[in-house]
Amino acid sequence: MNKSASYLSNELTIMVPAFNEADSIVDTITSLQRQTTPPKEIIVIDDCSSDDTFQKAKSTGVTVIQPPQNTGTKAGAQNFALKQVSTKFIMAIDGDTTLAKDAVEKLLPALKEEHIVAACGFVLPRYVNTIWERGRYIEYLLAFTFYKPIQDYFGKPLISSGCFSVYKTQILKENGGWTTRTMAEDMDLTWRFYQQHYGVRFIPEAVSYPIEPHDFNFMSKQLKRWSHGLIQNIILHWRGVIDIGYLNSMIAIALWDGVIASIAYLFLVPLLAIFFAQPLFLLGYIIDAPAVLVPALVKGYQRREIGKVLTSFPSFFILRTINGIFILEAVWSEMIMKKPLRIYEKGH
Amino acid sequence: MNVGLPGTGIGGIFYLASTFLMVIVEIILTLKGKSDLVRWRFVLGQLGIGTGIIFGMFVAGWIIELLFYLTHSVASSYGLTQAVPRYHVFLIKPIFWTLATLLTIVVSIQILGIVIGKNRHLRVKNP
Repeated sequence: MNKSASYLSNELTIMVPAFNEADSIVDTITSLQRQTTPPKEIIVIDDCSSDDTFQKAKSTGVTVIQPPQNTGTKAGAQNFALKQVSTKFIMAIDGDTTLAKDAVEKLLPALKEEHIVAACGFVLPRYVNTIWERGRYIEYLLAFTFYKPIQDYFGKPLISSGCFSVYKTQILKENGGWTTRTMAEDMDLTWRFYQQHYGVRFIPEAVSYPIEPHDFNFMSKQLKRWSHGLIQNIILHWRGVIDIGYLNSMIAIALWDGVIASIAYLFLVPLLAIFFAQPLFLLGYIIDAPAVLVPALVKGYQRREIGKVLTSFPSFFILRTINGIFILEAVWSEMIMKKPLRIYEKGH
Repeated sequence: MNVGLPGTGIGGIFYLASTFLMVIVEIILTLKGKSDLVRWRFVLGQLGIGTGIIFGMFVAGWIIELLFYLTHSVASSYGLTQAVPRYHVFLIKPIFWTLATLLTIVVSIQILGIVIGKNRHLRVKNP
């Protein structure tokens, strides 16, 4: 056990916002109680669930609170609890997320540096069964094995993931907590930190396991939220982040790829194949397969999950196609039609 | 959270280029006495992944090229199609244009950042 983490965890509150998470909340709380460095307090915010989330959370012995009425968003639930937190550090975990036993121990020391105000960890789907979960599994292996460590090297992880992040409570409160002005409150908060010259870290050794969408209905709600969240944050923050080195390039390229690569992927490639009667153009869908497979296999080897990586790999291309549709819809809706998405739907 | 098209487009090339940039940064830090083995291990690990990706793309391209050429050769020997020259799946021009696009975007954003950042500071100084 890391002594420094143990000392820091006496100043840690973990908050778990939950809405209709009766099926998963006990697992989440149990994984927090069994941490190698347990927190000082665990607070579950039951956002007026219609199932028995409240009762099940209460049965584990942790503090369970409920706002007077449903807040409508995860950010709203978290802000309701934030007022009650007096510890130096606060960790936010989704109600369907479990942590590796040493996740807190690994993550917390990142906040020892004075200018670091938030830290996030590695995310992997808890269940990898359906096409959607498998596609997401490969996506996360790529992003958290290759992209995010590079972002961290340059001091700019793109987002401190809302499902598993730790913050300095004072700084969070000074920033008014999580806002509800975008569909991606974690991205909004992270980019605000950067504009105030704070730092954010990514610690790959700290691992979390959220339940990922298992069907198209659930996946589509999440992708819609995430896609609109990205565009909303770009519209909101572009002036403030445009002179922040590396971050500005990442965002510009993400937007470029989201639009141009999506159009090429969804329209140009099939049209070229048809127009020139040349099926070779369809190779455009898989020609970058090594760019995804190599990082996934590297992490899969470390986790002894090579078989899972190889059997999940084809699902990635399906999810990627759907991703492209949603990002284009978000750009169209938010930037061109000026019809922002305002309703927060988790999907389950 | 992952949106857009991970792996495709210039984003993938951006991160590949970043791994080489990391090595340059680490060399400079080492010369200044500010690096260590832990940092080097991490940088070389990411470079290894990046190199593996580039190698994998060439192997994939070579295999596709070979399959395409062989299928056409067999088909043309039966008169089913015309013989075709060996295609090179990885053409230098598209790679060049992709790198040029990436460089244009990165440089443009940095210039825009300097201009807008400067204007912001001027507004703060002279409200």
